[in-house]
Amino acid sequence: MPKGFLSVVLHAHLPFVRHVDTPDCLEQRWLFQAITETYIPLLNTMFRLAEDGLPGRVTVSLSPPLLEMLDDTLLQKRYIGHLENLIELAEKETVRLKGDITLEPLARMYLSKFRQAYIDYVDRFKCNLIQPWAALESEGYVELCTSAATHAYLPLMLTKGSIKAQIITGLNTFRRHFGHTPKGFWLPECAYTPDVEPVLKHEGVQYFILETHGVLFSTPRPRFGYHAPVVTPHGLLAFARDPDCSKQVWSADEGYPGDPWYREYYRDIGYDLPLEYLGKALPGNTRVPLGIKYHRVTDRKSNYKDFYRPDIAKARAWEHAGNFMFWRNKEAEFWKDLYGRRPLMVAPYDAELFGHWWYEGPLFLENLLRRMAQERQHVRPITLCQYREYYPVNQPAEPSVSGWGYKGYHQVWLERSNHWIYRHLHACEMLMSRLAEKFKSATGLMERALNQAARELMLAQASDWPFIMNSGTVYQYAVNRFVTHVGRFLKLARQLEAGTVDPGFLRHLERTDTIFPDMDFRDFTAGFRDTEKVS
Amino acid sequence: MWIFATAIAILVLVLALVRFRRSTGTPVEKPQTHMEVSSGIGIPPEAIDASQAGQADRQAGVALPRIPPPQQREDDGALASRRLRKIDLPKEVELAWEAGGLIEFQKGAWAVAKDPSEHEETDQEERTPSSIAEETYTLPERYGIDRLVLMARDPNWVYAYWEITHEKYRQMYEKHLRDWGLSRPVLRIYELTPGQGRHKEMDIFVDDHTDNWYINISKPRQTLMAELGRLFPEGVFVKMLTSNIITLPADTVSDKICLEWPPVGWPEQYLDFRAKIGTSSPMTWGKDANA
Repeated sequence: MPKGFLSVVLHAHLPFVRHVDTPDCLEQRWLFQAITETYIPLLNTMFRLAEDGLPGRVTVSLSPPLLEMLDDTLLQKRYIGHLENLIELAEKETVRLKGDITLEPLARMYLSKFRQAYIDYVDRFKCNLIQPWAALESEGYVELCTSAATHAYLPLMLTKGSIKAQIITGLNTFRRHFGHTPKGFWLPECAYTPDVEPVLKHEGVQYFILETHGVLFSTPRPRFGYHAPVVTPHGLLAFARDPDCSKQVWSADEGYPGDPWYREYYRDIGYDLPLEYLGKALPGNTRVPLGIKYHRVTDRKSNYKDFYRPDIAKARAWEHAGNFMFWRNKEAEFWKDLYGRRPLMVAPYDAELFGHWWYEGPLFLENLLRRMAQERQHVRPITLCQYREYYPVNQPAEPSVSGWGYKGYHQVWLERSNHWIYRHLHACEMLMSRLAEKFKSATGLMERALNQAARELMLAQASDWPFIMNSGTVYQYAVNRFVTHVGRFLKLARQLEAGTVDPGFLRHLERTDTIFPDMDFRDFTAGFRDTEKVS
Repeated sequence: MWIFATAIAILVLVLALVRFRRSTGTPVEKPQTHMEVSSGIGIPPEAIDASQAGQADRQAGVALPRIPPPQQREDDGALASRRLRKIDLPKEVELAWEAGGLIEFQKGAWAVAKDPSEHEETDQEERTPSSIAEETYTLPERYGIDRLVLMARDPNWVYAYWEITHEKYRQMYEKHLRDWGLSRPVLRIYELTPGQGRHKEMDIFVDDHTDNWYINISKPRQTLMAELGRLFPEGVFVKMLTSNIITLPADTVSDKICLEWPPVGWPEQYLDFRAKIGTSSPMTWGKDANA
């Protein structure tokens, strides 16, 4: 019998960055890079494990905007074009570096990786990265779940109607793509407020994941700390993130990704080589990372970087997986003795960490799951839903409001750089609820305008905008996106209240912000609609 | 005629009071940056540590410096032309940026709410073509709603913002015309305890020109509400806006213990558990390596 359980949860999310009229948009590259570096490698990892009959039992959360973008034919086409440019550049690199003992093999590695990604994407997955996940889930290798419609930061919303609409629209998007209701729900940024519960319960969700102290600080005191879920007042299971699992992977100082032998993220030929050489791989003349990187971390405190050695990095990924397992075994043993009950360690990560930020991440994950399958390990992988089969009875308690951002609460999303957005968002929320009540039985053009208004509001509600404003990376882009979506919403709302919807403007918006084709604005009204649910 | 004269006199008085309060009034609570710590105004630019400069601002979301990208030199060699990084900036540029930041800060020191539309206009030329929409939207400054909204940020801090419509303001003003010039706007915080009703926790004197405030309460698990009104010389509080009710999150383990699930063998470390590592979200693309 195992002494404990480990549940790896990967949350994949990107904001909706489909820009119809600007094919070369910088932000669209977030998606393209994540497909090449994270989504395809993770799928390959899972399929390799499945072929070897190893049950990965990883829980994967795919956010609604990501699902919509992966399913979008325009973006699929653009991604292929992007990949073709990359392959061309990688070919040029092999010529440029011919004869260089250290760099030529690296250039060849990238060329073969990009070619393989092209074959995988076009021939194997037929440009559809959603179906393979569905196949893995039906075989029982992974468990899928999803998040709020546009990844809104739920505790900072004013009206229950908006929280409800965000959750229901997210779940409906998942149902449309996968044909069933997910068992779990990823609270955006693990941010919990009790208001989410009635909605999740009504929609048939069974569990969600909180930051460690969301469970540890619950009332009454949880007997098993963060090593077992609590049953919330609405009968859902609230799981807690294991702080040690997070620290070993996430921590900037002691985490695995900072190992000197791993690939350095910030040295990229997109910054290093002359513009005219890079040519059309760059959007216009703007320098962006291209994903061809020849250096390793070397020393995190210094700007001097050595060249990357894939063979050593590979060995390190194996060692780190072993180290991670070693500590999980210790942790399981310790808590099992203390509690007399097998502890559950929940390890949720952003999926984009694996591959995009931490190049060796998918390899680490594969090694980890392979090592865990060995006989002598005390820890067994399970999905969160399977936990109930082992321990059907759990302690009832009220979780504490929390989030997984800096300092454990809402500070990242509510501070000097971004607090100004909430007076607009809250006013729009109230306006949307009022419109939804007033025009409940609207049809035709009015109904379309109301649905589009709901889409615009939701796009403005994305937690990504305040997050970017806080981090300052692409501040102006976040402000522009926020102002544009609120502006579009208010314009539509004015037209609706006046009863004169401009069909041309509406069509333009429907073509631009295509997210959630099955959006129903009535979700913003109070109370639940009795709709036919796929279960 | 004398009505006009009185009105003008009152206006002058109000303006004078506002001035006075600006120079002596309660400081605005904001997340600390090093600029505020260094007390801003009198500091010589040389005294600022260039290696640290701007880091806090960037984290706080202050816009990046507008520096033209360095010219690409042919003879640099392929790998020598590095990306422009904050750490590579010449000292003069650093200081210029820092000075700019200080000026910006002083200008906005009392007008806490930065109008996003202002930002829009000043940065228009920087806008990338990818972000141009069908028209340039500007967000309204007011929505015509009387509202006071509290938001619980963490166990210690509450963020409040408000909006008073012109009609409401005029109504109140006409009703309390006599002493209006002597009254001060006050944000009054109440604690709500089940069974005991509410009681006043604190009064915060705010500025007439402010529409938001960070309030340090430090009462985890406490339920709160607030009222915005004016305090008159005799101590009369006239309410103008009432807020929503919020509960601050917990910052430590609960005192309540369930007898069916007693936490036996609970390790000590739980009792002083704090959220230690701040992560995350994948949206940190392009974040500086040294940040």
